[in-house]
Amino acid sequence: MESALIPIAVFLLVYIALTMELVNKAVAAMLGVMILIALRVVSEHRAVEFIDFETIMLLLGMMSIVAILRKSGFFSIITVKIAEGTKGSPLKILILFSIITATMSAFLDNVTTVLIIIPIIIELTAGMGLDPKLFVISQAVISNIGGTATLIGDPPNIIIGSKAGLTFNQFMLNLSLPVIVGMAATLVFIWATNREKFRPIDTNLAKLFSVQLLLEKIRYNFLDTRIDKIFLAKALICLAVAILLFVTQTITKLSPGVVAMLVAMVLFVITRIEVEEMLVEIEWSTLLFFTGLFILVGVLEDKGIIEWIANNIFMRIGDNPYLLVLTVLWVSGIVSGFLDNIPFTITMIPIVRLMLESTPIPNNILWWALALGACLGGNLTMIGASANIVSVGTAKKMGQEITFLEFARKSVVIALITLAIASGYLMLYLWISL
Amino acid sequence: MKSEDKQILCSLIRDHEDAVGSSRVTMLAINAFIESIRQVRCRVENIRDLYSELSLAIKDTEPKVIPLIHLIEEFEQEMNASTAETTDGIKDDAIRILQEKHRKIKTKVGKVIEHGLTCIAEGDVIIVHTLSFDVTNMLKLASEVLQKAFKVIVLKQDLSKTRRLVKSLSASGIDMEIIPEYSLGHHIEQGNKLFMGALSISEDMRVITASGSANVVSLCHLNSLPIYLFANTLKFSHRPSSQQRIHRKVEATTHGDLSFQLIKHSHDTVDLEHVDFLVTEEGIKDKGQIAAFMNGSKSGGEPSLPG
Repeated sequence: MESALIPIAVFLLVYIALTMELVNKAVAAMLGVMILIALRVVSEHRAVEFIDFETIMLLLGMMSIVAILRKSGFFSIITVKIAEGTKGSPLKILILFSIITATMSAFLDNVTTVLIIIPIIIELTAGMGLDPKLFVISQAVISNIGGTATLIGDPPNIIIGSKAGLTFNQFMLNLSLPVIVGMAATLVFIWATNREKFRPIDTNLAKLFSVQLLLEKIRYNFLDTRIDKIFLAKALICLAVAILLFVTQTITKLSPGVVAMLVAMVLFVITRIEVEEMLVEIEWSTLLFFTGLFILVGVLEDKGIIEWIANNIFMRIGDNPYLLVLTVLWVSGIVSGFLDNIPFTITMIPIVRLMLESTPIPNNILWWALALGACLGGNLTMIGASANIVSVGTAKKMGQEITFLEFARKSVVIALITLAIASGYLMLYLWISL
Repeated sequence: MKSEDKQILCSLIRDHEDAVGSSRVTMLAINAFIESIRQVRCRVENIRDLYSELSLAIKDTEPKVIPLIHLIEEFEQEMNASTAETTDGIKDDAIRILQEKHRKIKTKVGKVIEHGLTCIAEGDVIIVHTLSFDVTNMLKLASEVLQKAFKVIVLKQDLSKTRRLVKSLSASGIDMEIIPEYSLGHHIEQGNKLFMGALSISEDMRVITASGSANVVSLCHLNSLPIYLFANTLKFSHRPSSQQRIHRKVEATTHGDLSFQLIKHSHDTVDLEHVDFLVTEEGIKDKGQIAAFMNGSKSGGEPSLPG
C-alpha cells in the first residue's frame, strides 16, 4: 500500500483543484498524470492503456455532429418554432421548452442544449415581463433529467455505457420511465410552487399584442441566418443514421463510439465544411480532461486502491441488494451535487464492478443506480452539472444573475424528488427481478 | 393597463423600429394587433374598451411612430362607426379594418419603392446610413430585377442595426463597402448620392431620422452630394419635432477603470431644407417643390393623410 500513497495524494490534489476550480480541469487532470509519470509511478505506455478510447471517440464524434448541426441553423429553427407555438402562454413556455430541452439533451448534449435554449427563453420571458430566472433554472434541471435517458445524453452515461458494455437501447429501455416520471414531477412541482406566474394571458389584449411583437423580434434575432436547406438535410439525415445505428447496435455490432466518429467523418465529407472551422467548436479541454481522469483512476485501480475502497466502504454495508442499490444511487446523487460527476463516475465504475462480483444484482440495476444518481444528483446545486454552470453563466451575460442560493432553493427539492422517484423505480425493478 | 405592461410594449416597438425601420414596424404592429384580437378572450361589453386601451398605448410610445399612429387613429374612427354587437362581430370588424390598414401602408411603401427605383442609375455610388425597409428593398430590386450595376457605401452604426442591411445587400450580390459612419469624410468623394429613410417628417419641416444622420447629412450637404429622402405620406406628422418624443436613454457605462453615464438619443432631427429629393408614393419632389408639397399636405390635410 506504500506505493499507493503518491497516486492517492495526486488524485486528491487533482480533485481539490477541480472542485475549487483552481486551474482549468483539463490542466489539473493532465498535470496529475504527468506528475505520476515523472515520479515513475506509471510509465507513459502503461498510462495510455488506461484511456477508454471508446468514450473519447463517442464524445469527439458527437461534438463534431452537434457542431455541424449548429452551423446548419437547425437548432434556431426548432427553438423559434417552439417559441411561436407557446403563443406567450407562460405554462406552454414551460412545458414546450422543457420537452424540447429534454429531447435535445437526450440525443445531443446538455451543454449545447442549454446554450441554445437559455438565450431564447430569457428573451421571451423577460420581454413578457415574466421572471426569466425561474425558466432558466427549470431548463437547466430539465436538461440534466433529459440527458439521463440515453447512453449519449450525459457524460456519466457515456462512461458507464462504454466501461460496462451497455447498449444504447438498454439505456433507453431502463432509464426512460424514471426520466419521464421525474420530468413530469419536476414540471408539476415548478407549476405548483409558482402558480401566480403561470396565469394565462389570453384575457389581456396588450400582453397578447406584446407577445406577437416579441415573437417577431425573436424571429429577427435568432433566424437571420440564411438556411442552406441541402446542408441542413445532409446534417439531419446523418443524425438520423447515427441514432439508427445506436439503436441497432446489437445487430450491427458497431460500438457507439465508432458510430459517432464514422457519421461525423461522413458529415465532414458530404457537407464539404471547413474542417478547421468546425474543429474550433470541439471541446478539446473536455476530451483532455477525460483522458487524464481515465489514467488517474487507472493507476488507482492498478495499485489496488479502488479495491480497497470498495472492500472497506461499500462492501461493509452488507450484501442486501436493495441496500446496495440505494447506497450507490444516493451516494452518487449527493456526491454529484457537490463534485464534478465525471471524475466521480470514472472512480465509481471499478467499485461497482467489484460490488457486482461479490453480490451479483440482475438486469444491470446497480449500473442504472449509478447512472441515475450521477446524472440526477447534478441538479442538487448550481455547480453539480456543466449544464447548470453554463445556464447560469449565459443568464448572467443577459443581465439575469442567479445566486447559488436562488438556484438551490428550486433545484434541491427537484433533485430530491427525482432521486426519490429513481429509488422507487429501482426498488420495484429489483423486486421484480429477484 | 399596468404601467409595466405599457413600458414593455413601448420598448418593444422602439427596439423593433430601431432594427427594421418605421414602415416595417408599422406593418408588424398591425399584424400583431390582428393576431392578438383573434386570441383574446373577453366579454362583449369590454371588447371596445380593450381596443381603445391598446390603441392609446400604441399612440403613446417614445418615440412616436407616426405612420402607425395615423393608421391606429383611422382604425379607432372606423371602429366607432361599427355597429356590430356581438364579440365575434366586433372582432371581425376590427380585423377587417386592420387588414385594410395593413394593405394601405404596404401599397404606399410599394409605390415609394417604385418611384425610388428611378433614382438609381448605372454606375452610381450610393451612400446609405439609415436602416430603412424602403431603401433596402429598393436597392435589392434595382440589382436583382433591373440588373443595374451600382455600388453602395454602407455607414456602419451598431452592428445590430447595420447587420440586416449588409446581409440583405450581400445576398443580392450588390457591390458594397462598409465603413464606420464617422469615417465618411474619407469616402465622401467616392459617393454621388445619399439615400435615407425617416421615422417621420414633422410639421415644422424637420426629418426625424436615425441617430447619427444629422452628421452624415451635414457632410453630404457641405460636399454638394444630392440627398434623397424616402418617406411615404403616412410619415407626415401634424406636430412639431419637439413633440415627436425622441427617446433619451442614460446608460451607466464602465470601461476599465472609467465609469460614466452615457447619454443616447434614439433619433436625430435634420432640417428638411437639406434634402434635395423627397420620394413619396406620389412621386419625386425636388428641392423647389418640397416646401409646396408639404404645405399642400398640411393645408389640405394631405389627400391621403388621415387624422
